[in-house]
Amino acid sequence: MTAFWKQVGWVFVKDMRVEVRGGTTLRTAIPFAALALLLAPLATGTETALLRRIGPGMLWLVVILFGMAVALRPESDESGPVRDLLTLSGLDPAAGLLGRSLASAVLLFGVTLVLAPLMVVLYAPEGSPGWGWLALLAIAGAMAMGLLGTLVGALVTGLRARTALGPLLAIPPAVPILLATARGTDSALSQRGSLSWLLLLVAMNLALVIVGVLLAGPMDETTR
Amino acid sequence: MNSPPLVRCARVGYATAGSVILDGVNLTIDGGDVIGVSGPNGAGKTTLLRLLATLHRPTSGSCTVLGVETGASHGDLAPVRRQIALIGHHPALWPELTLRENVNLPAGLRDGPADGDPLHTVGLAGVAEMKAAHASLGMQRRVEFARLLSWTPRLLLLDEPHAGLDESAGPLVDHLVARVTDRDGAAVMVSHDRDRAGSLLTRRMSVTAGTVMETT
Repeated sequence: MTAFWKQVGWVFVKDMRVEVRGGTTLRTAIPFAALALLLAPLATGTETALLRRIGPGMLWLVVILFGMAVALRPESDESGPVRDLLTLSGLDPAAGLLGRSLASAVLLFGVTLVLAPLMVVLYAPEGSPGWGWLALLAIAGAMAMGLLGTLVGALVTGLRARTALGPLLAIPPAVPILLATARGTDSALSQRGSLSWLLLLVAMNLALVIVGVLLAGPMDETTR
Repeated sequence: MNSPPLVRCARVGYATAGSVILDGVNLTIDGGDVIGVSGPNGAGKTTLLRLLATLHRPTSGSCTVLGVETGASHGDLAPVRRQIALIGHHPALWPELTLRENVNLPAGLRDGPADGDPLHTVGLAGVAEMKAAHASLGMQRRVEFARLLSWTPRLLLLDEPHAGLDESAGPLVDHLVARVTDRDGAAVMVSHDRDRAGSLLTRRMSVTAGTVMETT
């Protein structure tokens, strides 16, 4: 394993450990996201056909919005002394960005796993699930959201308006992720296959990785 | 033949948000130097340390640290940065992690944890599993010192290292500085506590309104 990937693994392990101890995802994001899924039918009216139709889209909307809170959680903002420590320990900014993205992606995948059964119970979506497609969409969607949230988090790092500015910057590029995951889930539920949507997510992941790796060093220097 | 200086700064200035923090700093640091830096609050002492740590880039003049210009790219600076330790005014700890994890995790980015128990050496073995968030400032400082027992920097930068520490920790700072200078490294120590910092110093400097002057 090269030094770069060792560093990616190091950041991933460290972030997961901090998250397990801090519990932002478990204690904040998941309960509020579940509440949003629970309350949405009350706002739209409990017309069964409508709920069946909007269920998958609601799931991904909630995952993406609360996923942003996970990706931009305070624990992931390593500004100040800790950031200096990591820089002086030789951490490659690109490795840091990928490691943090991976940790956020795992957390977002976990959020999806918890919310998906709740959505099925509350909205009873039409069709029978193609589990393979759904799993691939969830993994690729979580990875894309993790990368996007971490990239935006690095851009606004150390800013007082971080939590306000972060979502504003992240939502426009999150739209294709929302479309691909929601439409892809619809296709998977109607047994049509979701290859085109999955490919869109893979392309977004690749683009975000390339942008992140290229910009991580300059962003690290300019936001110091 | 004399070895080249570890740091050579010429007419270095640093300004941010329209304010000049440092101006016309000329400074050479050789192996074995232990420099005490004093000066009033807001004079630019911490900024000077950050410039020496390559964490700030000069906005004028030039500064070479361990053979590399501080304005170089991240790739060029990376090997230099790995030879610098900065213990800043605020401890660099993850509050959710234990004191032991705060020592061992960063070591994973270097050569692994030190032999033995560094927390024992700094007097924290009994509270190793305490979360850093619950530790006092003095304990957090000791954790930072414990990290330095697994490797020896060439340039050790200390910002008020005695802040929050009790009397018994004084020799610990001296020990860390001596480890660095024994290997031809150098230490720069910002301190308002001249008595506690004094015994190891080979040079003294004062920073006043952004200018640095050697004093006796």
